[in-house]
Amino acid sequence: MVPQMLKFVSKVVGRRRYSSKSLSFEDEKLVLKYATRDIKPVTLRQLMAHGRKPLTESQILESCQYTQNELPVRLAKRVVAFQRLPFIVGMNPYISRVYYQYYEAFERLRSFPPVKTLEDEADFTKALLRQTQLLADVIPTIAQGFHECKKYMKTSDITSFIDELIKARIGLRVIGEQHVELSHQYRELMTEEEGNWAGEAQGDLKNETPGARDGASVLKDWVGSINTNLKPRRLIQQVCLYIQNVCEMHYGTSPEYIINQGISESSSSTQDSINMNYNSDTGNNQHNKRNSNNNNGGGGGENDIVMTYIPSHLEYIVMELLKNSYRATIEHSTRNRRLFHPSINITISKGVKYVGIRIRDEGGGISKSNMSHVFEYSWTTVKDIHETSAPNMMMGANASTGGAGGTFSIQANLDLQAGTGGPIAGLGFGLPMAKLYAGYFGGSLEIMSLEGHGCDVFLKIPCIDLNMDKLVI
Amino acid sequence: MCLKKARLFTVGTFHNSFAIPKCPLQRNFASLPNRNLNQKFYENRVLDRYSSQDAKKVSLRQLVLFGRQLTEDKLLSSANYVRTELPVRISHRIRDFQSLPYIAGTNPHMRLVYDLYWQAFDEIRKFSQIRSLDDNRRFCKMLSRNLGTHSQVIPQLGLGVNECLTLITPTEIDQFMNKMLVARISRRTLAEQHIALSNQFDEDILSVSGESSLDHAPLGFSTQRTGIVKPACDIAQLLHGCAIKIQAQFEDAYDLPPDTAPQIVIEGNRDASFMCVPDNIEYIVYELLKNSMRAILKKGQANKGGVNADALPPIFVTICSNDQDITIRVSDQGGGIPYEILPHIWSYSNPEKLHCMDNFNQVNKLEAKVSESERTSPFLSFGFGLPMSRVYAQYWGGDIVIRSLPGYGVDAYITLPRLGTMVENLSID
Repeated sequence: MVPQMLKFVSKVVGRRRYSSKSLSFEDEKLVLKYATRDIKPVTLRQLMAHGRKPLTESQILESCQYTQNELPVRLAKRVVAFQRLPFIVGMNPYISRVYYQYYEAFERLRSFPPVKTLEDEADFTKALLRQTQLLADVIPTIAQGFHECKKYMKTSDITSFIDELIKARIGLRVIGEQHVELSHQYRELMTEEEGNWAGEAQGDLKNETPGARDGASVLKDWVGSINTNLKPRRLIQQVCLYIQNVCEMHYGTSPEYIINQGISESSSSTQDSINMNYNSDTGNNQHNKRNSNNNNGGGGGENDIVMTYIPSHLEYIVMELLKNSYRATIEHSTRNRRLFHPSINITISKGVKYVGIRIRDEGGGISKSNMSHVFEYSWTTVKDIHETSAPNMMMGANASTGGAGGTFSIQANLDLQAGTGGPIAGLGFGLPMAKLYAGYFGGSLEIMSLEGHGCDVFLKIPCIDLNMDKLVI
Repeated sequence: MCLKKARLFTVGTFHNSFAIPKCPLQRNFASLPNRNLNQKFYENRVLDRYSSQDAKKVSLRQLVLFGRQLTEDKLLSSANYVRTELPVRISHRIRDFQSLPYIAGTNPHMRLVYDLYWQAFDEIRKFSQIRSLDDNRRFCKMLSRNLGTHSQVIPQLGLGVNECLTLITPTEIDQFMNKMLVARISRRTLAEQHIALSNQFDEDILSVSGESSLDHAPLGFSTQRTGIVKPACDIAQLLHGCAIKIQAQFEDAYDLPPDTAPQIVIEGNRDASFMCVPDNIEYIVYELLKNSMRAILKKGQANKGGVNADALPPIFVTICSNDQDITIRVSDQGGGIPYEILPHIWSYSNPEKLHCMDNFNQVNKLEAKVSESERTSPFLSFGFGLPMSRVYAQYWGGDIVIRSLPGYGVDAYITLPRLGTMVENLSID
């Protein structure tokens, strides 16, 4: 894209004033210089090494320097990827807006003077945080842009561009967030205060995010944004309760949930982990109608499965999947005049190096024809916000209805996302993003659909402490 | 002179004897016509005539439509179709054998199967044109006999494959076995369908005319039969039947009091029906339920040092159907399959399964039918159940997918087309 065109477009789009620097060919050269550098892949082990306890000043500075050197390279590569888009696509206001955002982020971080002291580091971290927040709504904007450009690019090219963008974004965020967290943890340690610095972004899900701390004992579990003592059951429970609230507010009704856990090796008794209240002569779902909060992990969850992972990632994935399940169940009940909603059945199991999670619903399933679209990016999103129709979520494939708007509209989604621990915000880009997140550290997400009945989603999440040398960001 | 040279190219030249294999089938092996290998090399030309033809595939629907107005003419044309089609299909498999590395082909078990195939090939292709019901009865008898002798094939192939693991790569083995098995199912389906139709035809003539074994049917006689195919098979009923049999079998084997085996709960669309060969579907369901049952009971034993019936979690079988397909989900809490093993469950040649395949020494025949599974001890595992089930499913245009939650349980999804419009799928990789 020609820089002069960029200036023109920026005036057209201009909801926000972009960098006062006018972009010239000189700047282009700078971008290229960074973009052609190699990404220094960091293993998770190295990343976690920065956060080795006890935190020292030199570690924080090291982490900062790594971040400062690495992020501009990755940002530049994204910028160049945008520049390689077809001209007409780049002229789309949504796409060019995102292009600008990345360009600015690149500029701001690149031009920051090298960090040598703690004060420098504080400034850098503030700038980093701000940039992260500015880039929050990249995905839905891009989605809208590409939707409008559908006829100018092949679907497969669009999909791979967005895939690369999301993957790069995950890497950027992991590195960036890691440093921001470490920085704050260090300062808290230094001042020995109960921190609530990130309170504004936390919403309901305080317990599973770094924002809520009960002092040093909880801090020891966290290495930056990685929780080494993550209990999937608690996280999923909180997400379920949250979604249940939203459903009740908007639909007036909501299915319950049940969480089962496979036996973790430490458990001696098997009784707790097996559902026993089945009627043998039944064809209906008596076993689902039990109290939803009885999550069979023993009284206080002593037998809970524990793993090391980045909770915000897991939360995002689980949120997307559960949103689908809840909505589908409610709609299917309406369609079929069911008197009750079958509960959403969630099972957590632990293998040697992975944790397996299955989410099972009776929401009618996904039709064969829709299954091929389920992981696509190109559906209507922001555009239909004003055309609210039947209660539909802003997600892609659905057994009966497509379209956007309604109950889980932009505002509701923002509410939902506000609780997800901050920077993952974005307007629920649905399954494709969940799949990328799941796959990022070597996990996977598979959907099995039983048309007319319901869906089973199988999540395989790696325990990243056991794979640390292999996992490269 | 010519013969001496030919000797260099024939299989097994470097072995000076065809030692009788140490298996319970020695008598069968010895009773096979003594084949001169050199002669066989030249007979191969006959094979070429058949193996150059493609298989003429059928669909379930065609089979059913065929029987909708079954007259003597139609029955005889079915007989001749089978008579000419089977040798073509067998010839393709003989070719596959011949392309194996010769050292694998010299394995006594493989040789046995190879010779059985040659024998069947010869016998069927040399059968003259079938022109009357008596001809047909002779033909059916010959077919049945072949089906009987060939029931050794699976165990022999299993043992042979087991012994050849060091000589061929696992992928080659899997491909070879899949091709062999799917072709075997296809030939048996054709043969069994024709035999069933013939028997049903004779029964109907008997009930109409009071005479059996007529050489020609009464003028204008026609009947409506579908052989081994069931156009509207009630799935819930089929599942229920399997469930009862399995529970009884396991209660017996594990010495459990009656009605204490894990419950098998059938839910979902209980009115669903579809067109299928019930025997095949029963086999698949039986294998999956067997695996689930076994896992649950093993886990129950391990945890409590003895099976406590109260602690046994049930197996849930869910039926879903739409216009095109049926899906059956078998969901258990048997402890799951570890992620590391999961990619290998479909393989015939996985080292983990090696010790299982030795069990083939204990059986003379394996036809892969439910009636047989009911009689075999559930403790005896050959490592064939899952791959074989998948071959059955894929043969008719469906599939089986297995998902696992390690430490918890397994979900198996069987999808099958409902309408029987899919043509046989003979190319399973």
